[in-house]
Amino acid sequence: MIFEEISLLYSRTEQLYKQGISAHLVAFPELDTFDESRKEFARAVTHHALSGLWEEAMILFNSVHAKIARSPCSPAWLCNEQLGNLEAAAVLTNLASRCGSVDGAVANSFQNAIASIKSLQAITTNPLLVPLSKLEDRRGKCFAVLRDTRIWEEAEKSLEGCLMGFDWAIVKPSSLRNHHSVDRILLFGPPWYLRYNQEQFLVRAPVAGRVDMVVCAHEFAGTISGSLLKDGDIPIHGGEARVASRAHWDFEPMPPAGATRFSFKGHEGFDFSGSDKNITAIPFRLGGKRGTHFKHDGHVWIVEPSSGSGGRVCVGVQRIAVEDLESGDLVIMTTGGGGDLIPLVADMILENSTDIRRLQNEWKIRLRKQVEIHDYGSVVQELKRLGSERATPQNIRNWCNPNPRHIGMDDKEGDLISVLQLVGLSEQYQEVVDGMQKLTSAHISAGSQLHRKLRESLEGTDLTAIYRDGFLEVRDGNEGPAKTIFLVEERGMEEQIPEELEGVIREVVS
Amino acid sequence: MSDVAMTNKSEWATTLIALGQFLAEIKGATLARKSTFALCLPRIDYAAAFFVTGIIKQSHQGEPVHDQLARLQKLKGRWVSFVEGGRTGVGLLEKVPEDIRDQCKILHYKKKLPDFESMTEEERKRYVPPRSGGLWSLLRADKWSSIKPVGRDFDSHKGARSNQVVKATKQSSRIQAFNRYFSTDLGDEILSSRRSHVWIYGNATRIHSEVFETLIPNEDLRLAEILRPDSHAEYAASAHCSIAAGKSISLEADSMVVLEAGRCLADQLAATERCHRTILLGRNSPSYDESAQLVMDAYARRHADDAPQPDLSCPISIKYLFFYHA
Repeated sequence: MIFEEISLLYSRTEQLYKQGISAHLVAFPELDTFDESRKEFARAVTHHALSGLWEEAMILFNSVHAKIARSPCSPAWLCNEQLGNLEAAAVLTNLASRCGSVDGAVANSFQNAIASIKSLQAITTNPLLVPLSKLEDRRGKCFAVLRDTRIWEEAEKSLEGCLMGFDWAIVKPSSLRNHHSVDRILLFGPPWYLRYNQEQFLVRAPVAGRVDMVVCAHEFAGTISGSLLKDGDIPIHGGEARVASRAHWDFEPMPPAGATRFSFKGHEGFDFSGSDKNITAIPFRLGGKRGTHFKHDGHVWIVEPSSGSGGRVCVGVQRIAVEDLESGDLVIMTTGGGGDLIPLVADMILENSTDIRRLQNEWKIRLRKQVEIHDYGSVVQELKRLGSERATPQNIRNWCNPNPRHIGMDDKEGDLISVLQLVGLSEQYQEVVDGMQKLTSAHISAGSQLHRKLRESLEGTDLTAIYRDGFLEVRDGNEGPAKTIFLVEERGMEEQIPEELEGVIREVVS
Repeated sequence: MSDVAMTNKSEWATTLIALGQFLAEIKGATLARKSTFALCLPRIDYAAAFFVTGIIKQSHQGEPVHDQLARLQKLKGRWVSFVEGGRTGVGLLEKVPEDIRDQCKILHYKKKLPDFESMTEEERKRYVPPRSGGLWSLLRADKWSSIKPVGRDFDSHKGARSNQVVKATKQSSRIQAFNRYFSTDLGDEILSSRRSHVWIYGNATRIHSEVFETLIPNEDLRLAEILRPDSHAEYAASAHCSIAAGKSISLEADSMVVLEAGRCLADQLAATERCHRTILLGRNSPSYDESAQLVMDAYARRHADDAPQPDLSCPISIKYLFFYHA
């Protein structure tokens, strides 16, 4: 960002710190009633130590409340999206039939929650839109901030009637970390919710001098500190916010930013247990009941969905820090796994990459097989007998790493020929060496062409299926390399994993 | 854009320069104690560059610029620019007199003698030495104020080429432009003398681009001419800072280091315990909360409560903590 742009951002911050945030409190009695009944239900379920479907219903109710209270979308549409699918409907029907066999407090609160949902289903216009239609001074650029891209299309329909006159767009919170300045941003939700999602930077380091916070009056609480170094809060005008408490957090559908609520099924592939290098990584639950880990200080590529023509078409790609990857993002991965897209683009550049990679995989698989049959010690001994200078268990693990980014090894010290002799491919030695050289060059070229190639291959792609299925496989022509775009459903908490597991797609259990 | 408009918009930059000056001043006054300066900013961009500019400015203050002879004595043996007959020249300041009635002697270039060993006896006999061994300018006191360091060396056998002279002159005028925009009074002496050195650890690629790209349109002004990072060959002899990335820091005690807070901050703080350190916290950073907590932990363990505080009006978007950590 250039100096003048940074100067402008400083003056925007000054403006906001002096003038404060404008909070628009909206009375929403139907949602308030539902809020009470879903909390009552959650307390009853917890008190009676119920689990299974009862817990699922609790999460469903919390999710319905969160979506309606923190988006401009139609409550009727959101209820249908959240509860209209077969799985959710089955949960609620099943529980309704079991109300007679549980404590009265549980049954009553469940029925109250269902009744209040019915009243929400009758509301087609979200009351949160009312203050937006009354906003004055409609000059300049305005961003509505919504983290969940799945509801963008509906949000656009809802907002377009009341944001007339603004040059507006919907953006994700993370895209505003390093964005150039605009005139106004619209936030949906209470002050405590920014802290809950670690999104206080939207106000602490604002891209706009004016921030409007549209909040349901029943959940208006919390403050936003200007910085964490001895200073006060940023003023919030429009209402006296209550002190935020744990009670607000306990009824959220998702844990606070940073916690993990899902786990992976055991990895059924190559044995990584002997790996001696662990890395810090963040687990993500992806669509299609799958998930992966990304290195915490790494980067991934995401698809930018259109916010102008329905939110379902790819209009570009963007490289973001894993730190900023969040639920609702569309992350691009290689079909075989891996957020590192260098091999994918290298394959677009290299003409006969399929054959080259097939040969690379072949000797890696055969070497792995040798390890599985004989163990590392024996394979090391045999390779040394054949002339390898660097055969050690760790080197063998690296050589047969299935990640396509790992080309295998450099052709030094007679290691490669020893390996090929061991796995019965010595006649193809020259072909393997040539292939490695081509892949290395293609990987280097891919690094510089990554953005353009990815954009070219994905621009205009219809993303509708991702929002339905959770993922979408995209292939360039019949022969081109395949990539999968996954919807990020949930983000977990940093943990230590073997390096080899990074980017590997695995099955997730909730 | 007018100067006034730019000055108002860049109040944050001026503040960072003033805070850098404050640190340099404190460092000079309290050698026994090491300080931590944490700056909390909306954006981290350009912060290190302006802060270090303040340190450089303070480090060069107090030079006896009014005493021409004392000033010129410091430049003796260096390449300088000067104005003679309305034209700017560049040369090596060879002699500075002890009396203002005498003249300064500046060498433009020295003629290179032939390699006599490779010549035949006949050639040596035929050789006629040049009438003069080179070209000098003699400047009287009324011209001394125009003598300024150019901040780099030239080949004394060839002298400075005309395009190099133009470049050297431009450097000086850019410093003046910087002074106008940021209400500073940096002197040309910062172009050559090395009175301070600061290490900057952060996103080295971004910081280099901030330092080397034109800061203000139409002015061709680059912060590199003030910061003179040692990564650039042209500034190696007169560098004021080093720009690096990563967490492996090995510095001498009492060094001044500026850290852009990120995931490595904990390691960087541990590695700089014996240094004067400045931590730049970007409130937009994903690791802001974690970094700010590390700073507050260090503050809780601070050495004493008697650390002086900067006395300046600071924009409310800039928050800071200054304390002694050892």
